[in-house]
Parts: sequence; C-alpha cells; structure tokens
Amino acid sequence: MSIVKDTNQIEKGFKTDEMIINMGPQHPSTHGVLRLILKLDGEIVKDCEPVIGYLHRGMEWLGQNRTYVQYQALVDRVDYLAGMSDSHAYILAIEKIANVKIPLRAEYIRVICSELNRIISHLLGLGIFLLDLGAMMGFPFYTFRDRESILSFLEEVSGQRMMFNYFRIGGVFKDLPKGWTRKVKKWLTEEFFKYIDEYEAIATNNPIFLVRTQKVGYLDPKIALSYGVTGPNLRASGFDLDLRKYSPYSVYDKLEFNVPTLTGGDTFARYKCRIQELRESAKLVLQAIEKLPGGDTEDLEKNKVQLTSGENPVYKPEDLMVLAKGKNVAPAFKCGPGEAYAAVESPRGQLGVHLIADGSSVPYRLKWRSPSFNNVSILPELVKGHPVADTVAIFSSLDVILPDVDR
Amino acid sequence: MSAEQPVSPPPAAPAPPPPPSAGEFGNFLKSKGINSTPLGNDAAGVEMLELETKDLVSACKLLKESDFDFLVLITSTDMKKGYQSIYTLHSTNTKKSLRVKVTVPKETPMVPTISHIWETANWYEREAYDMMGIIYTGHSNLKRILNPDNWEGYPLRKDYIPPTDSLNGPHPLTETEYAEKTLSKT
Repeated sequence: MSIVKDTNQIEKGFKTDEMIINMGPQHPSTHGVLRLILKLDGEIVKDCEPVIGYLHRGMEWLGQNRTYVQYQALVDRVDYLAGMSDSHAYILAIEKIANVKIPLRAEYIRVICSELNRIISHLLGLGIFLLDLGAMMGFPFYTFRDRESILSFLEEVSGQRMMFNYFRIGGVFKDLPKGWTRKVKKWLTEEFFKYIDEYEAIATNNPIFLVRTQKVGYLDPKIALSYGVTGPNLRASGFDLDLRKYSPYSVYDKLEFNVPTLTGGDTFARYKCRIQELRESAKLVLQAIEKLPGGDTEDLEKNKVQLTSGENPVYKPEDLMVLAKGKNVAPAFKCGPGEAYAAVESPRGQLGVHLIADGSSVPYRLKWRSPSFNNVSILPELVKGHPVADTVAIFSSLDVILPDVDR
Repeated sequence: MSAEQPVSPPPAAPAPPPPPSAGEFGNFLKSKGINSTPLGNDAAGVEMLELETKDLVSACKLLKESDFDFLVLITSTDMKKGYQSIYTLHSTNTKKSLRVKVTVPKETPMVPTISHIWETANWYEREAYDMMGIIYTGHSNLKRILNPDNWEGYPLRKDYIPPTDSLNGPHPLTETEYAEKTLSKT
C-alpha cells in the first residue's frame, strides 16, 4: 500500500514530529490484553514495542505447587483454544520421564481430539482475522457456527466445551461415546469440506481482502526461526517445520498427511496456510477414525473377544484399552528423578513442556514453551514501515492467543 | 491393593550410576578448547552438558556456527548449588538437540547474555530475570516482562513467599521489612 506524503507542509514550515501512541491494552483487535507502544511518523509505524503480562496467571508457579494429577486440570488454560495440545505436551513430558506405555487406542483418540481441536482453533482464528480486517458481518458467523458443532462433539467426549481436561497420564479419561465416530465422520464428510469451500469463496478471492493482506508483513524464514516463530506462521514463509512430520510423536507416523507449506510469507500466505491445514486436519481425523483400533465403541464392545483371541489376534488386549493398565494413576503419582522436554505441534506452533522431576509427586520445575510468546516477539520486525491499520492485520494473522503468551 | 500404586514399574535395585561420559557435542566443544561437564542424556535421549559461565558465549557462538540454528527454550531453575540457566538448542538440519546448563551462585546470579546470537533469547532472558532473578549481563533491555514492574521478589525461587492478596494487600515481604525497621528503631 503506497502512502502519498504531503511534502508541501514541511516546506510551508509546519512542524512535523514523531508521535508515540499506546495501542491497547483494551484495544478490540488485540485478542485479549496486549499493549503496543507505537512510534508513528504520520500514519507509518516506525517502531513498536509489545508490552505483555496483563494475563499472567503464574501457570508455572501453580504447577510447582500442585501434584502432577492436580495440575492436569489447569493446563488447558495455558492456551485456551488448544486445550488438547496443552494437555498432550504436559502428559507427554511426564510419560517420557515415568516411561509409561500408552495403549494404541488411546493414542488414536488423542490424535482425533487434537486434530478436531486444531480445526476449532483455526476456525476461531480465521473468523477473528476477517473481523479485524473489517468483515463485521457474515464471515465470523460462518466459522463460529461450524466451530460450535465441533465443540459439542468434544463436549460429548470430555464433558466440557473448551477446558477439556481429557488426557490422562497413561491414556485418556474415558472411551469415546457410543456412535460418536460415525457422527463425526458424517459431519466432516458431508458438511465440513463444503464449508471450507464456502470460506474460500467469501475470502480468498475477495479483492478487498487481497489488498489488505497481500504483500503485507513479509516474514523471512531465517529471521522467523531466529526469533523462534513456529507453526503456520513459519510454514507460510516456506520453512517446512511441523513436529507431526518432523519428529512424529503419538501415532502421527502411521498416518498420511501433507504439511501445507507456502512461500509467500505475507499475511495472505498465513491465512492460506491455515485454510489448507483445516482440510489436512479433517482428513487426519477421518483417517484416524478409520484406523482406530476396535472402531466405534459399540463395535468394540461387540467384537472385543474376536479381535483379541484366536491364533493370530488382530490386537493385544492392552491395545484396546484407553488407559495404561486400565486404571487411573494414583492421586499421589510420583515421577522421576529425571528431565525431559516434550513438544507437540499445537495450532500455533511448537508447544513444549520442559519438566524437571525430582522423584516426588510435585514437579520440581515446569517450564512452558508457548508458541505465541515467540510469535509476538517478532511483531516489531513485521510492522515497521506499515500503516497503523496494517498492524491490526499483521498481528491478527499471527493468530496469537494472549493467555498463551502470558501464561 | 493400595491406591498409591504408580503406573510406572518400581525402579530397579539402586545401583550407583556410572558417571556419564562425554557425548558428541561435549567432544566437539573439547576439540575447540572448551571444557564441559557431561550430564548424560535426559529421558528423551537429549545430550546434556554443563558449561562454565565464562565459556557460555564462545560455546554458543561455536554451536550456532555448527548448525544449531534454533534456540528452543531457556529455562531457569533454583537448584541447591545455585541458579541454573538451561538452554535447549536444536538443529533443523541434523534434527539433533542439545541442552546446555550454566550454574551461577545464589549471591551473584550473573550470566552473560546470548541474545545477540539467537534473538529468541531476548525475551526468554527477560522472563528468567523476572521469574528467577538471574541477571543477564549485556542484555539490551533487561526488565520485568510478565510481572508488573513494581513486583517484589522473584516468584519461581524456592524461598519465595507469595503475597496473600496480590491485588489489594501489601506484600508480606514488605510487611516484614517494615516490622524489622520499626523494631530496630525502638
């Protein structure tokens, strides 16, 4: 976007000066409470300093003052749109140190739930992104409508709409409800893929949308990695780093999927990358449902004996459980001594937990590597030289969740 | 059946573990003239080593040149022997990780900054300063990042006493200080 500068004013002797203004913390487009100190030359941003911490809840302190089992209920609040990923990283770190083996069925259920969670998160991200760009009516309603369907699927599974608290040490809380996989499969195949086309029809080729997003906020992949930016933001710049493919955890190595990687690096590429990830995630869910050991819960109850008996049983009995050894760990579960860093690919990037355990039932040190923290830190690099209005577009395209930044 | 039974099998008979030998990157640093203490591998198989504080910057520069392009995380911990600053490095070319630890005494918790080597360190060092009170010398903008600027104490230290009412009430440390002052006057 080119800005015509009126040089006549300077010639006439008008005093021009740089202005420092405060954007936030209650700005509607800051997705929570982020404060940006902007140094402006007219409409152009010369410098920007993010001030964070308004949503700091001391998640690490809370973790170090609770037992492993008590803290499970709190981890979903770190990144409230990706509760499954939060739990997954935390539980993986514990399982690495305690060397717990997870049943195959539980692993598949984890993948299904994580991917549904990714769809929810991207849908909200896309809706809010268009809202920030000025599409007040229409688009956000579509994404929120479809988000609601998945939220109710996950509510059936875990009992909560957003703070799932579904993953447990050694597996998941309980098996899927009867008929659930059929319902999800039907919704995804018959409705969801059509809906994604609908979003693209509204936004992707919309000339106003293109002017607002193309060639705005270019992110160089080398700079991005040096700032620790991961997830769709990095992949939109052409750097193919997705932990699901890169160092597969859970059962992602048994599933086939593509990692959408674009080379644009601008705001539009980041949008496009998320749209493509929606399709990939939906395909992953369908594939995982297809491969789910034992199938739907109804089928599992019917065929359990058949599947696990005979000369060449399809599965071992422990594969079809949802919790290791078929029961929850004790409330005073002890872990360690040991140290591990476990990371998962959350909708926003590499979400990791660095856990130092001393052998007691309380973590000695628990450190979150939240992707949004790094994704915000790159903002000053991106907004320099852009008008203030683009700051909103760029920040929104990074899809940052402020509770995840501040923890 | 006791309810206290953990899922993990009970640890085997306690045999004294052999001192860990230097790993791949320990040897690499040694060949460049930097000594490190090997700490073995962690539960995920990542090599860990401890460096002298004075060697940190030169070692980090060497590691950055040898493909460690991604600083994943800086963790700060409060160990008995002092405060630790732990760097988790990763190479996107060789897919290898490395964990470097630096321990500083509790009286003078000073670590040289590496924010000029990896940009990621800038905010992580501010966070470690905020939470653990480790001072990163040479950092361009070392101030609190998550807590308010007027917060007292460093919350993740093991001897930290949290305020009873962090929003409205005075901080307990302030009260103690106040009491000490008034006591010494009388």
